[in-house]
Amino acid sequence: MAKKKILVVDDELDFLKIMSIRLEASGYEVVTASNGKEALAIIRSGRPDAVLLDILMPDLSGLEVLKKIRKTDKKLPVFMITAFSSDERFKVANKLSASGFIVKTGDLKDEVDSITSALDLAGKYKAR
Amino acid sequence: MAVNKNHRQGVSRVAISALVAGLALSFALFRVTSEWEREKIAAEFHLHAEDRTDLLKDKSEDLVEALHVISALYESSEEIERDEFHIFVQGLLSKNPYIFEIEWLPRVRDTERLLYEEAAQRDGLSGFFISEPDEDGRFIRSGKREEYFPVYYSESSNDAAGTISGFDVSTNPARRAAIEKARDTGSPVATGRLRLIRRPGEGFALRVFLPIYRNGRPHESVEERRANLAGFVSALIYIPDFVEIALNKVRSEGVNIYIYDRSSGRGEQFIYFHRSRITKDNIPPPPGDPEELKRRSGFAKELIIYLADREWSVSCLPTSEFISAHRRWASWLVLFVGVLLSLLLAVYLSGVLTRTAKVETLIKERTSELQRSEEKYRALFDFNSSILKIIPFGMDIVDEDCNILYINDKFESMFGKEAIGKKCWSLYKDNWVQCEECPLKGGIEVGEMRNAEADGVLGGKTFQIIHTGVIFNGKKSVMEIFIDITERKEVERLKDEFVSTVSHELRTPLSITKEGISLVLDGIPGEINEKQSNILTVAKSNIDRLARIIDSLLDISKIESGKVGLRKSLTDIGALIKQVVASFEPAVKKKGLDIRTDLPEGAMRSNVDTDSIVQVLTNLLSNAVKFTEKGHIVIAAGISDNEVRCSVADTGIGIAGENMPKLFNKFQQFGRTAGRGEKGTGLGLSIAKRIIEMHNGKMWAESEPGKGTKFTFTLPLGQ
Repeated sequence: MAKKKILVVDDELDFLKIMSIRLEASGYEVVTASNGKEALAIIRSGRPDAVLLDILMPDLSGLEVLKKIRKTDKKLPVFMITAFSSDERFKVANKLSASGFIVKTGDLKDEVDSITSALDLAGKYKAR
Repeated sequence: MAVNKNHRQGVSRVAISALVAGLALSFALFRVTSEWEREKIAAEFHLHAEDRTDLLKDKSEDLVEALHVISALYESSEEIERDEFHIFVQGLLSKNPYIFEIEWLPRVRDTERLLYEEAAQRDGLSGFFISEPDEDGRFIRSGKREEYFPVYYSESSNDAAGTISGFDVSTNPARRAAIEKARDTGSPVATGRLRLIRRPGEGFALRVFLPIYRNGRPHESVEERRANLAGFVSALIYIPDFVEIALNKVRSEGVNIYIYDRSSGRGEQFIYFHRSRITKDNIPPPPGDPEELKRRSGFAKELIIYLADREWSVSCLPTSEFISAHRRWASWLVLFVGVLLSLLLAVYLSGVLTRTAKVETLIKERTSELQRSEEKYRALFDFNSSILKIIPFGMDIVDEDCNILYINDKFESMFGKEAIGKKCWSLYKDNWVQCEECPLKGGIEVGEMRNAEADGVLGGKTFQIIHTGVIFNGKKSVMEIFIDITERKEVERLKDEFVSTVSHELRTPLSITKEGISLVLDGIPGEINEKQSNILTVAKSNIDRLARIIDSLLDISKIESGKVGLRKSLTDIGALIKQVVASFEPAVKKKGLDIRTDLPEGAMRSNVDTDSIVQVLTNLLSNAVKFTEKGHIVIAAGISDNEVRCSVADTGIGIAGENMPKLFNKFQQFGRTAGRGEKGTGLGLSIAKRIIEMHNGKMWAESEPGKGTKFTFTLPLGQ
């Protein structure tokens, strides 16, 4: 089975690097982007299986990127990355049909596991 | 308070003058009254004296009358027989017992001498002869004289032998003078005082001679009387009897009477002293003459009566009994009352003046005290006013409808001069509308203090306005103190922003570091040995701790800045507790502790922000687990007094008494110096308490070191 491709978008390059290693360890193919524009370009060039999108980014924020994605693709799983366990912006994200949240300070292994479960679940529906 | 010396001297001077004047007046009145009393007594006494004198006068008239009866007898018949005389005179004697004897003394010329003597002897008077006493007092035949006046008949009151018959009365010069005067005047004439031979040493007597003229013969002139004299009726009067009988009729007592015969020569005047029957006075022997008596007593009242040609002085003297019986006490009463009134007046004056002086002194003292305290209060008032005026805060006083009554200097410089009478908000609010949260809307009690924040003041500024209920000019008012907190607010905003930014900025590198370590620990880049793993585990745990600190800081920063938006919903607290307890069960079991819940059967609903309350319960439970090595943890909840009460109790190490007050302070940690496992942030309890307070609840702790700790919080019961 081909590896699932995950796009990780964050302006912190170190985070991208660490997150990539974690995801790859969990068996994903990882594509990274350090800003919104780049992310949107990657998505346009080839649709990933899921997107991990940092909310707080200069120029184009995660929420704006999500908005743009949802304009064309309502089904693409997009998990918002946040530094906070609770945030007003969650509401906005939920309105924009975010698929879930990844808390940066949490245990990333657990976070990735939950993404995997979610994607597996989605895959099953898709397969059906 | 002391009455000064001058006052006291003045008071005694006035009081003593009044006393002296009063006493002088009293004595003067006493003198006048006693003089008047004396006169009254004297007048009274004179009446008594006159009474007695009148009685004596009456008695002497009786005597003369009695003698005239005998003269009438002689004048009516030529010859009086002895028996006739006897019967007649004895009647008189028995009526007038003071008459000792009455005699008939016929005038016997020398030529008739023998005839008379013979006739008398015939008449039964054997040995009758006309006699006179010799030098030895023996009666001898009298010598030859021109005429004789022998006692011819003699009747005595006690039937005793009378005067020796034949005794010639005229042989005694005094009697002869009396006889001759009686003969010449035709009136009774008495002798001076006599001693009775038969009653020697007793009272005096006197003899009265009444001339009898021959029947029908003229006796108008002296010559006719001399020519026609028949003889004399002689009465011997015993003066004590005479006076006492006369005074028998007296109705009152208390008068001593001295009787003198002023017609006698000096030394022979005293006749009789009548001693009042009732007196107990020690009376000295009567003086020889009335003049001396007068000298002896000013009270003596001398009256004159005439008895058979003799001038008798009757001097009456009151006895001490009379004086005391007639004493009047008016003068003494006057004196007593006067003295008493004077003393009372003096005392009263002294009292009144002293009081007046005291009152004056008191008034002076009080006035000066009042002045001093007024000055003090004026100074204090000025001081307070000036402080109010110059304090660097705007201050106004408004009535309960926000109308400004008073402003200070700072207020004036902040909001303008024309403030009095205007609504406070119309002066400083940018929108000229009363603040929504204005405490005046709910009313403020006097002494109550309420805080309010008003933004949009004077072009976007924020003010803290402290409202205090006061009494101003006697009316309930509110003092508002304006503190410009615009800068503080800005600082707070910057701080919050700073904290928020910093925590965000810290979080990212932290999570990257942590994840890096996790990756290595997970062996993703390659196998690591046990020592490396141990080191990295410690590193990771401390990164977790750092992450928690940052989270908590952010939480508290949000709570403090009021930025936490509570998403309240009606929640069953029991269910919430069960949920949290369930999440702790693994950790509790791992530590070998027992965890129990004590919850009522029904739901305990409260309107809460679920996440916040979960955070509170989590904080409390994690503390309990952290500080309890053995025993149990009990989470209990129930409803009382319209609130949900929830407690978390453990059997842990407890908290020392001195640390209890600091328990809910930020960054406060106790008993963790040597502990193992997760390190706390020192913010958990602080955050928990604030969350509960934001829900209008309370949180507190009870603890006993070594035995355990119990945290309790309350939440309002939801509807």
